[in-house]
Amino acid sequence: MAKILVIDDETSIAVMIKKMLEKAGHEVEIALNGNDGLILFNKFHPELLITDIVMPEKEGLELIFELRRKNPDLKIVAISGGGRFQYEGYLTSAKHLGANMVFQKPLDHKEFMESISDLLIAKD
Amino acid sequence: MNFLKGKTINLLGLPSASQGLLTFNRLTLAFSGDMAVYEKDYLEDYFVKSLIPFRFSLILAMVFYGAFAFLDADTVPDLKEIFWFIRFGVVFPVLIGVFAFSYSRVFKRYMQFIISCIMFITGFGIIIMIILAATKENYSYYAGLILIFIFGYTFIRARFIYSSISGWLIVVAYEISAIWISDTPINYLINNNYFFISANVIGMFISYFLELSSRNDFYMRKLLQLEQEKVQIANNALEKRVRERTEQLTNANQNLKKEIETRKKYEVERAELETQLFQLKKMETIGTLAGGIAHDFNNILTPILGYTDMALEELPEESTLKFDIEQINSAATRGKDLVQQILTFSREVNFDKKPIQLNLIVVEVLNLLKPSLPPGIEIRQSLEQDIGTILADSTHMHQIIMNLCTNASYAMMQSGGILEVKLDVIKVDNKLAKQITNLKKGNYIRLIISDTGHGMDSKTKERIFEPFFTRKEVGSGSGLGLSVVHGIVNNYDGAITVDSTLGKGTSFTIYLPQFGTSLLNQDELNKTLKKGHEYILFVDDEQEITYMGKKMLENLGYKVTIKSDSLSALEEFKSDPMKYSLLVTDQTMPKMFGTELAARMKEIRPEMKVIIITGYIDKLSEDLLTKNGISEIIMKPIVLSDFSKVIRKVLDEN
Repeated sequence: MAKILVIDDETSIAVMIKKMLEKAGHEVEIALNGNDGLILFNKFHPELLITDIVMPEKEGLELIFELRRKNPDLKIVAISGGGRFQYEGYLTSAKHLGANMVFQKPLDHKEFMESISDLLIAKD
Repeated sequence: MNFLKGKTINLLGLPSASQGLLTFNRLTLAFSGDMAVYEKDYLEDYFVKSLIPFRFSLILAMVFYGAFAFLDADTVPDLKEIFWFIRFGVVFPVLIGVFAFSYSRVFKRYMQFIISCIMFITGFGIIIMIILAATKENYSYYAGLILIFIFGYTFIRARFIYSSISGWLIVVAYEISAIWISDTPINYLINNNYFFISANVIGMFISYFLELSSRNDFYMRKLLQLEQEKVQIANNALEKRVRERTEQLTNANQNLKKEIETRKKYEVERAELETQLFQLKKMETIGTLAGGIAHDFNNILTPILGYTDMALEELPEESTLKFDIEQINSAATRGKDLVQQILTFSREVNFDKKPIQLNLIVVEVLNLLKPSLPPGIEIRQSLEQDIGTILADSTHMHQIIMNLCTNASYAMMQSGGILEVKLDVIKVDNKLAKQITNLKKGNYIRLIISDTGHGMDSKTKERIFEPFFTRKEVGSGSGLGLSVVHGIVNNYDGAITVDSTLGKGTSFTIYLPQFGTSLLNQDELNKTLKKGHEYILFVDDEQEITYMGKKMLENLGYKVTIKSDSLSALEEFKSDPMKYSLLVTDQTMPKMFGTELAARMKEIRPEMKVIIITGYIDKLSEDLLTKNGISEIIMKPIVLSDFSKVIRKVLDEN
């Protein structure tokens, strides 16, 4: 049972991930952009952050970088649709900036849930 | 006085010493002043023109001199023998001798002197006849001298000075003979002198004007010749200028033609480069557009797959909705695969570059392909071993070769044929680099995949690398494969070309920059392969990969059992847990992940060793691997040498 914050500018995706995680028994909050996500993070204090990368106002990479500096124990998962114009993978960049795991959209539901579960267990 | 003198002479009709530009000595008539240089030419010319008339006049002189012999017989019959001796015994031999001498080369030098001697000799002969005839009181032979003057001053071609000297010598000789020797009566003497001296003077004038006329004529001819020479020189100079100018124009014309040809060539090259550039930009634009579309599609597919996955979890087995939702999920999964290809094409894929031996990947792909090829298709391979390495993502190479081989087999599906794969190293020079876009001078590994299928026309060939362009039937392919191949090859700074003839077949040639040249030869490669004899359980949901895995492992000496289903693999293991020393399993499988399979086996036998094979290393964290007791991970596609080393290492671990 963990507190998870999901940030994605696509409402349908954020809601879907929330539903998946709540089915697994977690407490989930969602934000639709990086700035709101940051505000919610400070209020909600989640153990796990699942964030999209390409978002308006504040990009996921910037968010990961900021939060990783301030919260070394925070578990971060980055998800991405692949980006539009960058040739270097966003996901690789996310890993370099401190994400524990990265997933390419569209998500493989089973694989995603298993990995999240393993990640949450890992440092217990 | 000089002025009057000149006027007086002109009024008399006598020539002045300077007739226009013609200057001469008034007495000898020789050219003087500026004309003096032509005197020698004139004398030469006069000789040449005079020689034949001179010979004719000698013959004529002999005729007349001889004809008067009849007169001798009539007028002085007592003296005819002496007279005939003079004519035929003296004069005639002289004339004949001169005639013969006239053919000699040295005659020219003495001609005028000889002519004047002839004149004098013939005249002197007459004088002797006059002296002898006077003894018979015949004073008429002086008339013969007049004939001599006529001949000497006109016919015989003596120049004025020579003939004049001879003429006056004859006059003097006559006077001496007439006055002192023959004692001619005074009245006859005066009478004869009137005619005789008048004839000499007239003869002199005639000779003078004849020579002057001849000199004038020569002068005119010389002037004409000089003018002609000037004209010729001018002509020659003009011709030379014309020739030079023509040559200049011809050269300019040729240079112009060459320049035109060069420009045309450049225009053609430019047009080709523009076409290539346009094509590249088009592909880049399509790539960028496709990348954008792919990104948005991923976001659309994510909830579709997510919700259908969740719904499938919740729905009971017997639910009628299950099948429908599975179809939705399956379609969305295919969409996901298509998006992946688009991302690859639009360069949105992370490359995991490392030095790889392309020939090994070719062998793997061909082994995978063989079982699925329709009958009638023969595979031929010509793979050089010592080609070095390329720096590339092995997944991409696998994808490229598989794509091209699949296309080739598709082209031969109806009537069979030969799929040929060649691999070698080529040194690209400047000439080849110019012909193929993206190619630079250097060493490249060249892969040629060709078929003897239906081939394609030129229009199809032009568009073959465009995304979504396909000649296949609907449902047989999205048309992205070659655009993906093209995109991958370009990203490795390589190049791909296609050659095809409709009805005969197609050949794709890929150039990839050679990374390293040092390469293990087959013997050394064999030495690096680690072998063993243990029992291995190989699990992968793709049957072709299980066959390939079995073949690889058995070649290494291991005994292999393959399963394409994780549950049946678990059952196999349970039937004899101690049999297998190693589990090699794919990670992503339906029903049970590889990690989960490993965990279940380890519950039965904790020391069981496990190797996971996956294409998605990002998904597997170290903690996950440690928790499930995974010894090693191997990335797809499997490279034999790495595979053998990892297996041996894991088996040898305690």
